Amino acid sequence: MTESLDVTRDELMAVAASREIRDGDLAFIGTGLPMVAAYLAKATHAPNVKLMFESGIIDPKPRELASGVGDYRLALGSPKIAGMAYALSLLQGGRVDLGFLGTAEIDAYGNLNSTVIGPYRHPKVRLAGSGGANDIASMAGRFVIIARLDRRRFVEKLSYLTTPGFLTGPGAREAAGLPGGGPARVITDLAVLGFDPASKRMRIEELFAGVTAAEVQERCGFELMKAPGIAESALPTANQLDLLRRVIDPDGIYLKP
Amino acid sequence: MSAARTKLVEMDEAIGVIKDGMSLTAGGFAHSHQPMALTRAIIRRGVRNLTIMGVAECWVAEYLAAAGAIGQAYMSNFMFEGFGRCRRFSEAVETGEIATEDHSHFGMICRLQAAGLGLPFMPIRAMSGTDIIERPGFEDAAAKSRRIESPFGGEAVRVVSPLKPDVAIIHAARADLDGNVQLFGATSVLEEQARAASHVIVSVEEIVSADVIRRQPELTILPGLLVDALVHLPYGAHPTGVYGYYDHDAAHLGEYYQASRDREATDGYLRRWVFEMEDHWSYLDAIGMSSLLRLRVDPALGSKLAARPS
Amino acid sequence: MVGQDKTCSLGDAVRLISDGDAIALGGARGYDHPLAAVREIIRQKRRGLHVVGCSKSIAMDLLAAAGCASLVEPDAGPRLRAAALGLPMLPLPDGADRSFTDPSARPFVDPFTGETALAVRALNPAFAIVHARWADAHGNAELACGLNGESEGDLMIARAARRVIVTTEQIVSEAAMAVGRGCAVLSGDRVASVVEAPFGTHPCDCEERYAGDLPGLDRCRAAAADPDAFAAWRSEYVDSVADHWGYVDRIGSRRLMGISLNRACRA
Repeated sequence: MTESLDVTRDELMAVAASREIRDGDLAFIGTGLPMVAAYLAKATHAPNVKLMFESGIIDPKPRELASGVGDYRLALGSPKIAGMAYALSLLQGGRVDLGFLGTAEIDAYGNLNSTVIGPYRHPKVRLAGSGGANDIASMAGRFVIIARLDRRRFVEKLSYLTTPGFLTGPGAREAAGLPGGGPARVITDLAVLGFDPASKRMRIEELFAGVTAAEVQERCGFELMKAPGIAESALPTANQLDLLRRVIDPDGIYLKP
Repeated sequence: MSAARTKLVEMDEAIGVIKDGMSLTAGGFAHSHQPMALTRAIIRRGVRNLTIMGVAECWVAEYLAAAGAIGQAYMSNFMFEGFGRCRRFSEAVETGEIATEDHSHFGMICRLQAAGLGLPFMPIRAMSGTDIIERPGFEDAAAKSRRIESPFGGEAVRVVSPLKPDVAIIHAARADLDGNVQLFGATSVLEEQARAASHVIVSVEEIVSADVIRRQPELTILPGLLVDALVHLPYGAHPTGVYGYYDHDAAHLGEYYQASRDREATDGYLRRWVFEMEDHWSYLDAIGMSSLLRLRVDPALGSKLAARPS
Repeated sequence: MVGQDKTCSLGDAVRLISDGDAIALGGARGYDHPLAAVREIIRQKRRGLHVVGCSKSIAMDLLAAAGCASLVEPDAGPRLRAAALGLPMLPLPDGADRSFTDPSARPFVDPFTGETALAVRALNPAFAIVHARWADAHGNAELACGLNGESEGDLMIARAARRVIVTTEQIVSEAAMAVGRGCAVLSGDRVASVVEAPFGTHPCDCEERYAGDLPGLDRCRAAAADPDAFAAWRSEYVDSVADHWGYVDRIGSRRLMGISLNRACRA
């Protein structure tokens, strides 16, 4: 009876993102929709996922949704709280299966920009900088990007390449000595995108209900490939929506109407 | 055991070592345990042309940038969780007032670790293939990082050179007079910063007896041998928090964030909360003890409870 | 645990007290006297109170100086103990001062020994006012563990009264109360109100939290002894602050942080 469910874009993205978490993963989680997606996965199909945060908080049991990875509410129930070097060195040691990242700009190879718009030395806009993003993208087993589709975000050429997707294409990550597997999926508000195994270029893999491939392409600033069989992305279940709305983010901190 | 001289000094004496043009790193991250009282005092001094060697001390960087105190920044990421960009820092970069040299978090950490360990470089598996390496800022690319062949054969590996700050400013929970410093909760990059820096200044919520420290030595994040100056500054992280003591002051952080929209409002904020404050006590009284006490965290939950009618 | 939320402002808690009520004040020998509540009683101009406690205290002296108290009983410990035990009266312990001046004390013949002894009548005040280190919203309160091994003090006073007003350094979660640190815990059933009042015993000491504020104590002693000093004290610390939060702001950070002993909020 999914037609009667009134689902928001953020909810679609959170649910689609949560599906990317495999039970038993050690997942590096950032603020925002990734946190919502992670707790949804933990409450449903991935009860054994261990969540880790760049602040050095490992496997906590927060009672409330935190406003960030440094939020003291997040630390509740954690068996191990350390510092940033601890968390990031576990990442470099190959322990982390999955990371979630947001971004200001993304290109066809899943490379990300969170540093500058415009030239590096006199930028038009100075953004936050890499933070843990480059580390996660370089060294996690795989990573997933969560970003709304927008021609200004999905660009042909990044102003600055902060965070490595597949860099220039096949073999480039290996040549650069990056140990992690690279980007696996891009969760947008219209579709779930992935990467063509041969060319490493971004492609449409699943469409949300009522969305066409043409609409997706329209909102993207580069040419998207298409996976051989594009599926319709499963709608959130009533249980997932209930968990999101009543338990995980009842105040709508990250899930906007 | 010889009688150790106490490390405890007044704030003005502690920060007196910080001079124009020095490099500075600050502890804390997000809205937690950033040395804000020390930062306000540094701003009041009118120190100029500092080089920030920062990992995640966003509020320190933003305040110093707002005051025009920063010349350049080795950095990874400055951003306000739950709010948005560090506007004054960002604008100063956009106008060319602050020059930047970007890194990943782990990149900055590895450079500080190399300095702390006295090593000529530290291998790292991140940053390769990206503009963090390919498009240098103010630092000479070859001085920052290289790709070298592993001496044990097989692979090429990226290495980064050390970064040694002149001064580290840190705020923690408690210390004894010997400067043995303890902190509860997540510890940011304190250890790496204290080991790397030439001079370490620590402010703490409480000065406690040596017994208290020695009963729980595993909580000691910085032994006194790493600490040069100790300052007693209750609520010294405000408007950020200290785990086990008080939460961050979201309303006050929001007030700054709003003010940072434009130069005039920012100057108004700095005037009111920094320049017109004679000392740390004046600042705390301007905030009000009643407001500060309402930030206390719940002893079991670690964060402050929802506000009640009072 | 589902329970009633008993938190309220200090003003609302003190409004429960009527003129003429008997009120027992917690604390002993300079520690844990509920001064914030006392200042609020003075602000609300209560009259005719029968003020009792286990020892003389500056709290009682100020209520007397303010004209709020018509009767002060600083040595009512035995009477309160009787009430706390649910007894109508209690013999005084062997060796109790023969010049014991409690007008309610009566001689009686001990049925077991045939000796004459003194007994006091139970005193069951309308309210006890005690200051806790921690209390939760349901009124469960962690009281001072007591000096010199006396773990009963405030707990006994609370049990003697019909209802209890708890002021507390900090209102905490049920999870924090559940940790159980071996301190006296007042159970919330007869607690009427829980009020968050940090530095609620200032300028008196609060065991484990802060030392006495010596200049503050001097001001209070002077105020209790002299009407002009009282008027000045009252004007500065009662009338010109809106509530206890205003008082705390007025005392200020340097003094309050200077006396603080143990500010970590850790279970």
